[in-house]
Amino acid sequence: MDKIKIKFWHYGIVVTLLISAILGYNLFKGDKSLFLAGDASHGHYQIELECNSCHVESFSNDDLMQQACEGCHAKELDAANDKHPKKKFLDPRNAELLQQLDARYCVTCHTEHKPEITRKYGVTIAPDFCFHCHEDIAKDRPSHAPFEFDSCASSGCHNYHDNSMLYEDFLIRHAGEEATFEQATLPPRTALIRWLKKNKKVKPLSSQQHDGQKLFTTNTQSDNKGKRNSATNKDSQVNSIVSQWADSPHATTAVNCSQCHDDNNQSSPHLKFNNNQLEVCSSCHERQANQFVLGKHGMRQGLGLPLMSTADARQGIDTTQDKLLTCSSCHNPHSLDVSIAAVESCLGCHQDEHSKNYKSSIHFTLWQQEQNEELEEGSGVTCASCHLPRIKKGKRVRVMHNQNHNLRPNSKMLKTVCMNCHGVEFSLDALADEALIEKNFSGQPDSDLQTFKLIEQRIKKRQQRRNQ
Amino acid sequence: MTIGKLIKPTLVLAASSLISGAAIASGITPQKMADAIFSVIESDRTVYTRNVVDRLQNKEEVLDASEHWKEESALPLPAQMLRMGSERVNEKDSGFTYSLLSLWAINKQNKPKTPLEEKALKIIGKDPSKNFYGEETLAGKKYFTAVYPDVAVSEACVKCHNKHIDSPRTDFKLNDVMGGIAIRIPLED
Ligand code: HEC
Repeated sequence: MDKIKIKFWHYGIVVTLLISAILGYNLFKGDKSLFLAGDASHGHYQIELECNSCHVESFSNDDLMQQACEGCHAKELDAANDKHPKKKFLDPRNAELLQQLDARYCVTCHTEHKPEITRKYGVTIAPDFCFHCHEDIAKDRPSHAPFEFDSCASSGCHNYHDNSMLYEDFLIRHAGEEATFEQATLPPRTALIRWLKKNKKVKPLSSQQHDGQKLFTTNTQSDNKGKRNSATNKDSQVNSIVSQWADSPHATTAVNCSQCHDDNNQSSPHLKFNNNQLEVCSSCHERQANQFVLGKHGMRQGLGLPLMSTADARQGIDTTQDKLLTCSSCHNPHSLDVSIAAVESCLGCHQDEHSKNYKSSIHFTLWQQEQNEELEEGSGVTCASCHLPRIKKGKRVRVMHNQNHNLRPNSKMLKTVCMNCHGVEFSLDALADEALIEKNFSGQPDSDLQTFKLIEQRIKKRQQRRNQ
Repeated sequence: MTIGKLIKPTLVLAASSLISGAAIASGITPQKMADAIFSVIESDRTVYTRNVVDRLQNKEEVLDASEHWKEESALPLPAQMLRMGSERVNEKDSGFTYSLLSLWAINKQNKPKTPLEEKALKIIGKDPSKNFYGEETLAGKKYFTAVYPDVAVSEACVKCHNKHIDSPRTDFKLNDVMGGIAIRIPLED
């Protein structure tokens, strides 16, 4: 009998097949993690295993990739009046500039999966990038001659995309304001007042009027199987839920149990829309839900992926617990106590230095005084005051539910947050002072920002021009 | 820069020059096409300046025009209106591009960038009765470029530019040439 002699290349085939099987399984059935070129940036890591979100087709070309970027980011850029939109660079008179820096494509400056060179805002290009097109800026603005090109976008003066709060007319109008105003409060929220005004005929519901009897009976029967103790426990739990609800804006606006729950004999109270909480809330709070899925709390849900969990978080989050992020992570749906949503809900997960220092800040002291009714409403500053700001449009004041909206760049906080209480110069100094931010604003801002020295020169020059 | 990035715009430009090539074959020269486009741009610019900006800002005094129209809930300036239109045209790969330029630009992006732009602005500045027509090559691609004088048709033009902090020139008078509108049409090689 001939013995099959195992040769070296046989091993080769076996090893190759094995590797292919592992890779194939990981790509088609597994989590694709073996195919990640490098960790995704903090903006994208939550969705990095959903490769198709960005790589529309395998080996897709730059234009398809660009479409993917724009699919998620175009609206925000447009709303911020992007200073360098792609459409500006399609005119052939800019063709030469594009050979230096192809500003038509996001990936020119934002390369993904390159953690070793990724900086703030996911920028991967050398920090003096403005040089490529604005090399001779000192000719038009001699005042800028002493500045290095790597300081344009890191000084708090300019941003590549969003300068919506850094334009001269605005800064000049507010120049010279005091550091902290005497009358310093946030605008009161208007949603409930406006709703009640519009719906005068709707009567608030009392605790006896709840329609959740069926929910509770099915639960009590199926849960306690004759054990009296747990029945009384259950009763007190039910009573507490009912009384929370009766004091909440939901009862005030006649939103009863059945508006959110269905009673199809589930072992635990079950929500409508197949128990999809975001959809339940969104059926009345659509604007808030749409904003929520744009921020890091909700971006996974926005793409139809499983909910984000604190266990997967990267930035200063307590990852020992596995809390899922949806509406009720911050809002207790029965009590709807926004004072809890404004501080404790955040601090339950966020444990970075800035968050940990909040409770020793003046902002928190003011909040405690407001809670104790020693100060008028709106005097305190909570996590939500800055990160879920009250935005005034005409007579309405609504809470922005995308908590990342005003962080990129943080100068977006000027008008809607800081300048409710502080002058523009003080605010801008504080927002550019990273050490002070980490201390959660305990202390004074480092005020060697050049912005207002330059603004003073410009104010003088404007006056001269006008008097000519 | 990858090949993909180079090929796409080249194809687009080739396609659009085919369009203008077809126009030439049927008797419409690039110059005629540019003249026609200019008359639309110029009419829209005048209508917007007179019937929107002038009326709301100066006559009815209900709404100002401001460079920061978006942030200040104001009307865009006529020059910004023109640029927004031209950027939309860019996005649609329309087979031509246009821009508002000046030797004395408030916005430095509106300064001449090519030798032809510079030459054209100087010539129409001296004699606004004639338009400038020429050809130029940008990034390896040939263009027919027409430049039309943009004249200070009202006191508002003169006043605003002369008083603007970033205007390099402060002695504009009524009917002076303040700049030019450049229209570019890609040509077949
Ligand atoms: C309220 C002030 C104001 C008025 C009125 C005004 N302009 Fe302008 N103009 C500007 C500003 C500001 C810019 C720069 C806009 C930009 O491109 O961002 C500009 C740009 C221009 C440019 C391009 C070159 C440059 O300076 O950047 C030309 C040419 C021009 N205007 C001509 C005119 C003419 C002609 C009129 C009258 C029909 C007029 N402008 C009316 C403020 C004004």
